[in-house]
Amino acid sequence: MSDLLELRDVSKRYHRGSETINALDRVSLRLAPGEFVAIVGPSGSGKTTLLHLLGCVDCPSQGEVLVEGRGVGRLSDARLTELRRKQFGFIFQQFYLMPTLTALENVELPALFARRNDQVRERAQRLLASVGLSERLYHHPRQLSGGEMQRVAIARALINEPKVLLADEPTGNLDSANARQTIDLLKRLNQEGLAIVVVTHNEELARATARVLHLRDGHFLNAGPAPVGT
Amino acid sequence: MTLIGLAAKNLARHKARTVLTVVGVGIAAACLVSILAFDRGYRQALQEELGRSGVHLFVSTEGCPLEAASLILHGGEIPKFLNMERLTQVKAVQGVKEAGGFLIFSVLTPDGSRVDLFYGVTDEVRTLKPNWKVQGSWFKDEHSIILGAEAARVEKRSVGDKLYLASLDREFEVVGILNRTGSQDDSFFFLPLVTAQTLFRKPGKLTAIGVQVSDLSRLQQVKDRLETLPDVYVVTSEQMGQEIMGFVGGTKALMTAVLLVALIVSAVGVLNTVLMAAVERQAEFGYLRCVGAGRADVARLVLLETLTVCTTGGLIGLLIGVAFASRTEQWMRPLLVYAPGGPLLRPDAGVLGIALVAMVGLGLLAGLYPAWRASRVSPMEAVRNE
Repeated sequence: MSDLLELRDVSKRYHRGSETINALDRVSLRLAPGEFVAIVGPSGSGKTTLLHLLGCVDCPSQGEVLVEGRGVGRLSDARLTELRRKQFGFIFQQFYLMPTLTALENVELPALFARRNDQVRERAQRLLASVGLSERLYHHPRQLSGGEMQRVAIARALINEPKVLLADEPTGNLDSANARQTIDLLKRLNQEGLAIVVVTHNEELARATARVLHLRDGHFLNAGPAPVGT
Repeated sequence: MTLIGLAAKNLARHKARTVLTVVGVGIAAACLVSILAFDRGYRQALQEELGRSGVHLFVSTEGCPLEAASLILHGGEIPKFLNMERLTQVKAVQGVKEAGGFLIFSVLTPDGSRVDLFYGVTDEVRTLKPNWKVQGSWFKDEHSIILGAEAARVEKRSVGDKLYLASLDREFEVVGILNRTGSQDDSFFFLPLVTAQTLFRKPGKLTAIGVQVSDLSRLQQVKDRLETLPDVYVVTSEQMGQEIMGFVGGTKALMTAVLLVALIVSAVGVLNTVLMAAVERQAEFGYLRCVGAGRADVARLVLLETLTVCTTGGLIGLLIGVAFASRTEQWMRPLLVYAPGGPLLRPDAGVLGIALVAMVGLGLLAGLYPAWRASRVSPMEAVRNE
């Protein structure tokens, strides 16, 4: 089985005035289909930058990002958009639910841009039911708790049937009970075959994953490229 | 879920801001409808009035056609007169079916509050103005007076009443009142020509002569023949119409300037609203880009929001423009140098179509920059806020 995602000797530098910040320095990583990986480390260690590079949201200053074995460095903006649409589901700490849309409409939103008309509403209803929100379909975000909003965001990330779920601090804004629910949900999704990469400070969530990568000052402390199929 | 539905819901986030922008667009659209309807309506009303009048040619003293138009239609006054013998000569010209003389004078009322316009006319005017409907009778003697509908209303006189005009120090019997024509005639005092000549000490003089030709296809030949008479200037009703359109040119220019200001203010308002919304939602656009929205999708979304505002405002403006057309006309009439009878504002389908297309075009124009800017938002904008 080939790698789903791979970072090859990737560096990312930012410039702040005359200062150059090495967010990531020659990092390599391989992600197999169905893997559940946590990236942990102190603030400023480069976790989120790594996630952005994996999700083709940002480009490396050096090195190569490969999706299903193909380098993405020379892809046009339109091709990258298409790639994100087909391969990735994103979950953010801030949820990014549209305040004027219902939970159901929020879940349907990515399908609108994917030009998918194949029973989108039914799939959205099914996804919301699967995250325990079948009673909240027509509620607006302001009528939902933090945990419910995150579950809507997870359902939304799944509407286009991605191969990888990229989650940045998915439990960061949740109390412990809701965080627990979200962790259980992510575990279940992984057991169903979805590859997941989470950036987290939550130890319980990190423990729930199959592989934990420790990042500090732009370097992995404990891992080079993982063997395929781990 | 559709893109237009999403655009509408986005606009609903800031209801007050959206409503104010729609109102701004609506006002601009109403102005546009009014001005386009006036441009079309005035021209049509003038053509209809000149066509109805039965006067095909106007003969006045030598001068510019502007003076002639002003004199005959608006009741202006210049110290130049034709001799009565000219009327006889005009009537004798081949191709002239009917000709009638006018002597026009304006007199300030003793209290200085208004200027009364007196028209000395002959019986021929009844042929030259076939749209006149007189309540009562035609002139009986030199003490008879016929009042325009508005003049009768102002003087509070009915047929058979006596009317003492202090400005002329003379009492008349109101023998007839014109039914409202919607033209300047409504404000005039009509006297027998000889009476007017005596009162204004212009015996045997005329201000102008109205001519009806037997065959309209030979109008130019008749005009050429009339111009062989000494010291006369002949204008066709068509030229008269052009001159009058020239009179209102200044008014139209002013209205166009007001319209331009309204359109610019409206466009800037739309631009400001949409740009503000686009800037506020950078992280959101970034998120949409993360989940697969292309640059074109984001631009389309912002343009749809702009078009929704402009189309809604445009339609509301159209309705306001149509609903208030008669009120706008009431306000405009007194401001015009010459106002023909009939509706001056005619907001027909063509006018409404042009106005709506213009407002949608304005929306597209105003939305281009915010749409472009929103489309440039990188997916990083979403994650940068994390």
